[in-house]
Amino acid sequence: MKFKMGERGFVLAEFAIALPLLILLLYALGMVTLHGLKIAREQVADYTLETDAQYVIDRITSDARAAQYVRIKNANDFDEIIFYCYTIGEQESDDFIAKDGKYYKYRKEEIMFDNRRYYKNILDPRIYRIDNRDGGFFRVYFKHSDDDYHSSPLTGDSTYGDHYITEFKVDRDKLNQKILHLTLEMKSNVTKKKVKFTTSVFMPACESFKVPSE
Amino acid sequence: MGAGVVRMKNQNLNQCGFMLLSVVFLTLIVSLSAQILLNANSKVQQRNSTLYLTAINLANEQFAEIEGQNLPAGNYNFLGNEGDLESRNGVREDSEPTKFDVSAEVGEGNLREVKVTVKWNVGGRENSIVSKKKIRAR
Repeated sequence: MKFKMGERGFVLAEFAIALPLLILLLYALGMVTLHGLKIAREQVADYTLETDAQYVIDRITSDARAAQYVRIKNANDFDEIIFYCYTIGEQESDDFIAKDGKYYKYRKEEIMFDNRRYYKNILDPRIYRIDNRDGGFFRVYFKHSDDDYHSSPLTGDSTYGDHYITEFKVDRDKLNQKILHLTLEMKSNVTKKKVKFTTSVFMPACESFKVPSE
Repeated sequence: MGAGVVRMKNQNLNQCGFMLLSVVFLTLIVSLSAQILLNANSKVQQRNSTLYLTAINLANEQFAEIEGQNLPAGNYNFLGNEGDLESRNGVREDSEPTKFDVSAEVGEGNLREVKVTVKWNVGGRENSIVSKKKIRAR
């Protein structure tokens, strides 16, 4: 018996078996890669969502802990929470006069700036403003005074995890005015998931806490 | 002539084996990565780290209540808002909310050591955190 294996025929047979297999494998590889990318995208979105929420909670609780006075303002399109805390500030500039390259106090005695003597405690307002300047997507902005220009928000300013605030509530405890309840709910635009955190903070130095209903 | 045929046969057989091996390896790679991804999928869908963060915030709430009410030594249940104990964080929309169990142990003395334990169940497994803080009596 004479059997001659032609090269061309063998190549054709080989491709006839291998090509569907190859296509199937490439399809499977593509699907697996797409699924992996989707999982990674969700994971990054969840991570940024959690981190931003916890960042806002940490900032607000640490400022509340140091607050002397707390005020809440409600307006049509924004809410504001203001913590007045003591901080080290400069003496008012009216007290000093510069002359011949030297500083004088009340035009009489020449003075030197000294951390111990000419700096004092001042009340520093820390304003958290929940604003919908992005068209329905509420975000938290921070500023030190009403005149401050605040540009970048504390939350939602991330390329990979786009999210916004759906609920933000600061409330005084009914029995104890030194306890502040905080509720923060945020929603991700990527995964459509919501996270909600509730916490409270005790404010030892708080002298008055006024909510707008009073 | 005979030697040439044999050499040609060997060459073809070598190519065939190489292709079989590559097909086998590609299949293995695809199936392994699919298994890894399927395993990761449930973890991404049901994130426990969000629940850990919720538990830490609940523990802080309990600390604030204990410090605010200036409680004496003893064991206490959750003192904050009861509605905060249920959470839908880290689970799918249709599944049941996670329930947290918060308890506190206040120590003796002027500078009391407060121990707060938060427990919750997720996927049949029990998780817990223990948070400690020293609180001065007023």
